[in-house]
Amino acid sequence: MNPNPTPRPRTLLRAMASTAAVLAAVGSLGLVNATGAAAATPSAAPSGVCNPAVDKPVQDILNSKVEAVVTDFSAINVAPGTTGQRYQTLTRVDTVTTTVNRNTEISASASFLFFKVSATVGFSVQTTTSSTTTTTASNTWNFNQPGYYGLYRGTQKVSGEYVEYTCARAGAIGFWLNTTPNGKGTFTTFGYPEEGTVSCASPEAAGTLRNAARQRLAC
Amino acid sequence: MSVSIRRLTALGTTAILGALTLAAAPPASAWDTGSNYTCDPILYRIKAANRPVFNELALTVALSRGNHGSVIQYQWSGESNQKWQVCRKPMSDGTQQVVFRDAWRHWCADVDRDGRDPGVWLITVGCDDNYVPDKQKFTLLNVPNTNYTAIRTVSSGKWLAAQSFDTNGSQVVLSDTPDLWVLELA
Repeated sequence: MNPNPTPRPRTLLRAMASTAAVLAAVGSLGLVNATGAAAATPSAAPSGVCNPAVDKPVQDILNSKVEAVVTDFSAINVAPGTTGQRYQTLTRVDTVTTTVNRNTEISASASFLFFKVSATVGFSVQTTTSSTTTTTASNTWNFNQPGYYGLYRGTQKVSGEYVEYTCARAGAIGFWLNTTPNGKGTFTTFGYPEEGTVSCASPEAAGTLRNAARQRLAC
Repeated sequence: MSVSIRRLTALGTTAILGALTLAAAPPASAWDTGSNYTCDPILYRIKAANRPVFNELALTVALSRGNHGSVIQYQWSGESNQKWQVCRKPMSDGTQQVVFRDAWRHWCADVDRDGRDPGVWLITVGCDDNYVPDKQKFTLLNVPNTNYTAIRTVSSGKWLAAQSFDTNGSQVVLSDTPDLWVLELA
């Protein structure tokens, strides 16, 4: 009944495309408001017929939220006569990890998603398996004025929802299909770390990482 | 509810094959397992979408040496090894998981090595009536406004696709991108 076929390799579509193409495709998505929260306007979801030999999976960011997160912190009181350099190791107070659908192992296609997130929020985010815990926050600080300071390291955490559309083959043509598990996925990533000092004497703008750090000081 | 446990290998002998090749398809019946899968009372053919009527390719349990017991897409001729029982289990999130049992041996479609890697074959193995492993569970995803369905494995999230979509006898494998299929009354 079956002639025991000699299979020919199926041409698998590659999920990855060039970063340039990604950024070009989503460059208009990001809408960052004054408080740092970003709301993406979903682009038109692909629908109808596609070409499975050409069309790559398309990811669409449904929404995203940016929040400043202090990951390491120490409060230090510099009394008169004790100014100068200090080597300080900060205490870990929070952690941000890259996840896609709660999975911390970031695949190549998930990296592609994060390139789109980056274009949406308007700053670079981690695109591979990453955590803010991978390095210790230690540094030498120079205090030339007495005072009550907060030393911090933190980042911009970005979380949100996305969908992925894949061109599903039907003979020589294809149809766009929402292939996100459960129809809608979630992601978390974060920007580059920022370190600095805050003090009670200097108020900071709401929604900023510096303000989040200052709130940890007992001002 | 049957309590028998049948763990059978995917590959049988050629001698057994010859005796079973053209066995008549058994009547469809409800199959309520210990895992609460309930089978549709009809048999299906699962054919590749958008094929010419004169050359329809359907999911078929291969009989030849070398890939015996695996699943290929093959020209439809109405044989029992081309018909499938579909057993469903509703999930709490409103979706459903399905198990495919061939009408020839009543074995379950199964993905080799949990289907972690693209290119892994779809095979058939003896079903365990009381336990359905993830590698035998699938979800169906319909293309809106069509009768086309993509079939996804629960164990890895990969999709069923023909190794060569336009080739009669092509092996059905797991892929990062889906082929579309039509489930219809056999």
